Amino acid sequence: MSEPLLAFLYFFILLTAVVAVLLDDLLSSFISLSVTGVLMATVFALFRAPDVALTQAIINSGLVTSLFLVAYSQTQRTPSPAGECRECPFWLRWPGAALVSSLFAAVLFRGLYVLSGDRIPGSTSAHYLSQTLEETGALNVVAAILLDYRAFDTLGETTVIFTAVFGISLLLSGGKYVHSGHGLSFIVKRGMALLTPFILLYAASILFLGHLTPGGGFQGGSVFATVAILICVVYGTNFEAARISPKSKETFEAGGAMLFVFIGLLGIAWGGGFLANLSGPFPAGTPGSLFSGGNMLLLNLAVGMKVGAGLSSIFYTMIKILELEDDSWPS
Amino acid sequence: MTPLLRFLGGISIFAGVFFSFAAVVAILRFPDVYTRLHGGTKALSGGAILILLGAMPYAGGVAGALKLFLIAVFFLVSNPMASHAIARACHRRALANRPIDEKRRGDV
Amino acid sequence: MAVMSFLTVSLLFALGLFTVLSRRNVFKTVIGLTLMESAVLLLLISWAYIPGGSAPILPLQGKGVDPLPHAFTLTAIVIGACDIALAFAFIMKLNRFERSVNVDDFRRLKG
Repeated sequence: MSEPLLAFLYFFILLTAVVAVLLDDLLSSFISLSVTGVLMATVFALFRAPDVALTQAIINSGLVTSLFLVAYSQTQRTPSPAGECRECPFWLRWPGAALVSSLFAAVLFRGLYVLSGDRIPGSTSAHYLSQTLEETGALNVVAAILLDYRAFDTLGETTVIFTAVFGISLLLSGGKYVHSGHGLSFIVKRGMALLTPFILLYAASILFLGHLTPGGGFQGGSVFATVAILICVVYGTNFEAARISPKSKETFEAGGAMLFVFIGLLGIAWGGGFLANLSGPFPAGTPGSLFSGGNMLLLNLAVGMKVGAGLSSIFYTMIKILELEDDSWPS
Repeated sequence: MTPLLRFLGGISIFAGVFFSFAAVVAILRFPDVYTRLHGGTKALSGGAILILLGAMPYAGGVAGALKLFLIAVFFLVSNPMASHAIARACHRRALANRPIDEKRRGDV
Repeated sequence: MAVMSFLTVSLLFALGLFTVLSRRNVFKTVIGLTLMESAVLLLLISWAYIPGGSAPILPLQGKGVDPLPHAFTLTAIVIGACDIALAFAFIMKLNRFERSVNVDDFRRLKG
């Protein structure tokens, strides 16, 4: 991997980050931030981390930007005359803040500098790289770590997603439709109808082949949520709520969590321990085929259901609060 | 055969980079929102598709080249659709003959 | 190369900290949080790289890079997106009360 290419990408990451910080216009700064996210996904791919690059590109550059656009359109801002307050103490105005940040950066860099020797992976990582095929039957080592060796942490992560959905629904409850959008024009609706089956196929292939190729439940579930968001934008919120009702989204989300825990309990019932994979009742299969890796296929499905339903219900909860004073929603 | 294809691919990538650069210049220098959109989307679609088609000889085998071709087809279908949606939204807000206010203080 | 990565990580984190400290718009605070999280993700992935290594997909071509920070980073990305979504929901709710996105206007609990 060439150093000039990496230096070029790092320079542009910092440049777009500076632009995102210093611009006054919020839309432009968030678009600059999503460019930073895409450049970081490219750097991750250069560092031989395809799973992480895929997740970063989908979630940080796609989903967060669309959530920002929803929040931006729902808030009423009066333009204030200056970007910083006049009566704030020294550390909160830009010279003091710049001093604090640069001191922090210097200390951090000095602390990280000692790590820049020869990189030797620890014994745990060496074990994972060499023993994954025998102990789990999967080909994707990162998926094997997430769904077999450390599956309990993945259960905790799905709980975090559930907490976020729960908190957002609690905060933004009580809204009702005043004005549901009619969606975009006929051309966009027909084009979207042409493209949606292929996007769904792509999402399913990322999800179900997650134990063989880079991907998995999180990435596939996010692309499913992206399809729900696209339908919401292109066809109107009423259309999307009629097709995939909020009740069914909650059922999917709870179903994903219950499937995960049920698979874990099956491991206990077999005598192997919670979330046991090959020492439980799940067959290893032939390496490289779809039905391999023990319970990783079902766990990917559970995680994908949870993440997809959770993220799309977050978006739906944020966008259905439409109490407009003027008829400014494009319909 | 393959070195010739790679050479043609390289030329195609260079042309695609030039078109993308032209799209950036269009977005920065044109006076009105519609002209900016027109220049941006036409040049950007052409540039991206040329880059993708030019990368096809460098991909791993026929399967990789076919994947890049499918990505180019997807891009060709979706990018003009997105620009149409933007242009229609501008038209609905009647941004027709207003010159773009460069000095407008956005929200802070 | 590792020194270049660590320099970028420190600068990116410092940019995020600067934004959170000095900008009065609450959306800028979210931008600062995202930059700080991105700095940590970059640190994890750049530290996991072994020069000459290949992606951790079996069968390995040569040495493999360290797969454990990759799993940790995946979890961190998803959790970061969830907390940013919650931050946006907080902003929308606060905006309903105060009609502004200036941090100095959210002073109901003060003194």
